[in-house]
Amino acid sequence: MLHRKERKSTASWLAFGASVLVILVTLSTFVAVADDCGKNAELWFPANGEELDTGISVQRVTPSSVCQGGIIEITVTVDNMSCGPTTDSAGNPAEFDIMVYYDQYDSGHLIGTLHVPGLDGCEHITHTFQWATAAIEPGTHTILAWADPHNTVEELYDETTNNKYTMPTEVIVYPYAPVIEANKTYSDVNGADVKPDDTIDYMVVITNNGCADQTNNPGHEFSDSLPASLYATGASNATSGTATVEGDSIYWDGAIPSGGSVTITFVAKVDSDVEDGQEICNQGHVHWDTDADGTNDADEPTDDPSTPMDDDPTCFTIRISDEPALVGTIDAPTLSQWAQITMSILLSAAFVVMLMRRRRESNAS
Amino acid sequence: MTSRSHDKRPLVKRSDLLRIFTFVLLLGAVAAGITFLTNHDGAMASFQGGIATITSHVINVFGGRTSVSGNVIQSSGSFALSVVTACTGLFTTGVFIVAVLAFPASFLAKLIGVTLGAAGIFLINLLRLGSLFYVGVHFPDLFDRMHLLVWQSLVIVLSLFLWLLWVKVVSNAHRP
Repeated sequence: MLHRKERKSTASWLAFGASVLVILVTLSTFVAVADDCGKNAELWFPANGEELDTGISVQRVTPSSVCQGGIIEITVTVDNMSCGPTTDSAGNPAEFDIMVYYDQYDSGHLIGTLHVPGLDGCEHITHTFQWATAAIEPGTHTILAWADPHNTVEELYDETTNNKYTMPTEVIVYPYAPVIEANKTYSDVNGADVKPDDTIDYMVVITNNGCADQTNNPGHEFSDSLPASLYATGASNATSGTATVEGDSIYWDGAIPSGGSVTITFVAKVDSDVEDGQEICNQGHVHWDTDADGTNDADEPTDDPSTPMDDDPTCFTIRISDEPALVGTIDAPTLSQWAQITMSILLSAAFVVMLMRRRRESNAS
Repeated sequence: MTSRSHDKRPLVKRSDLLRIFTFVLLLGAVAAGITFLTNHDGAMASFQGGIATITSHVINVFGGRTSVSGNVIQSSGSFALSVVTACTGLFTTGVFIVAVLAFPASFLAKLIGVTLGAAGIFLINLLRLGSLFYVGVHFPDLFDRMHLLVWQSLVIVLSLFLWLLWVKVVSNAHRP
C-alpha cells in the first residue's frame, strides 16, 4: 500500500509526462505544416478517373476515330500534387504552359497550348483542346501532353518524366475516300457435305468503312469468276446496284455509301465429275476508288470469314465417300512407344554389328 | 602353331564392350529425358509452336490453306493437327545422336554426323507432318494407316539408313 505522499508524487510525475507529450505532439504538427508549406510545386498528369484532392482527373480523347477534317477533343488534367504553389527558382509565383502534341514533342506536331497563370498546392486544372484534323496525315496517331515544357516552375522533384503524358487512347484519322472490305461465304443448299451436282449459294458482303462514298464508276465494282469445277446457274441478286451473270462470271455495278454495305448473292452448281477430297476455291474481287476521283484504282479480294487468314479464298472440299471427315485436333507422334522400342533395338543391333565389323577390319589390317 | 596363336586376335575388345555399354547407357538417358519432356509438354511449347509454324508454311507453299495457333495447325475445315513433343522427332534425333557419339570416329566425323543427322531427321519429320496433314484433310480414312504403318516404319528405316550412311561414308573416312 502506497503512502499518501508517495501517491501524490506519482500523480505529479504522470501529469508532467502527459503535458510534455501534448506539447511535443503539438509542436511537431506545427513543424510539419510549416515544412509542407515551404515545399515547391510538383506537376503531373494523374490517370484518367483518379480522385484528386480537388476533383477527378480527366484524360480523354473523343472521338477516337474521325474522318480527315473532323474535330477531336482532347481533355487533359494537370495536378499540383505538392502543397506548395507554382513558383520560380526565386520563389516568385510562376506561370506555365500545358502543350498537347500528336506523335512527337515538336512544334510541327503541336495541337494546342494552354497558358496557366499558376496552381496552388494540391490544385489541378482540366482543359479541353480542339484538334482539327483537315491537314493531318490519315492513319493512327498518338496524343502527347507536356506540362511546363519551358521549365518555368521550380518543382519539388527536378524530373521531366511525370511532366509528359501519353494519352491511353490512340486516334485514327481516316482518309476522305472509300475503304472497302469484302467477305464471301458459301452454303450447300442441301446442308450436308458438298457432293457432285450439289447447289451452292454464295453470299458476298461488301462494306465501305471509309469516309467517302464509293460511287458507281466506269467498269464493274465487283467481279467473280467461278473455277473449273463450278458453273453458274444464272441466279443472282443484290441489295442495291445491279448483279449480272455472264457465262461463269458474276459482276456487280453500283454505289456504296460511306458506312454502308451491299450484299450480293449468286448460285453455282458443282460439276458431276469432281473427285472425292477435291478442294474447290473461289475468290471475288472488289474494284474500288481509293482517292474518290471517280476511277476504280484498287482491288480488294474477298475474304473467307470462317478462317483466321485475311483476304483468303472461300473453299470447300468434295466428300463422296461415306467415310466421315476427321474432326477436331489430332496429334501424330513420330514414333509410338513400341516403335521407339523397335528403333532402339534395331539401332543397337546395327551399332554392335558395325562395331564388330570395324574391329574385324582393323584386325585384318 | 606359334604364329597361328599370335593371329587369333579377339573379335570384341574390352574397349568395344565399353562403347556398347556407353551406348546403352546414353540410350536409356535419352529415353528417360524424352519421356520426361513428353509428360511436361509446356516446357516444349515454343519448340512445338516453331515446328507447327514451319510445317504450316511448307503446306501453304504447296497450295494448302493453313493457319497456326500455338502448336496447332488448323486447316480451312474442321481438321487440325496438334504438334506435341512426341511429334517433334526428338526421340529419333536423340537416339541417332547417341549412336553417332558412341561409335568410334573422329571429332569432326561426329560433328558432321550430329549436324547432318539432326537436320535430316528434322526434314523427314517435316515431310511426315505435311503429308499427314494432307491425308487428314483429303483422305481421312487413310490417316491412321499412313501415320501408324507407313510413316513410323519410314522414320525408323530412314534414320537407320542415315546412321549406316554416316558410319560407311563419314566415320570411315575420319577414323580416330
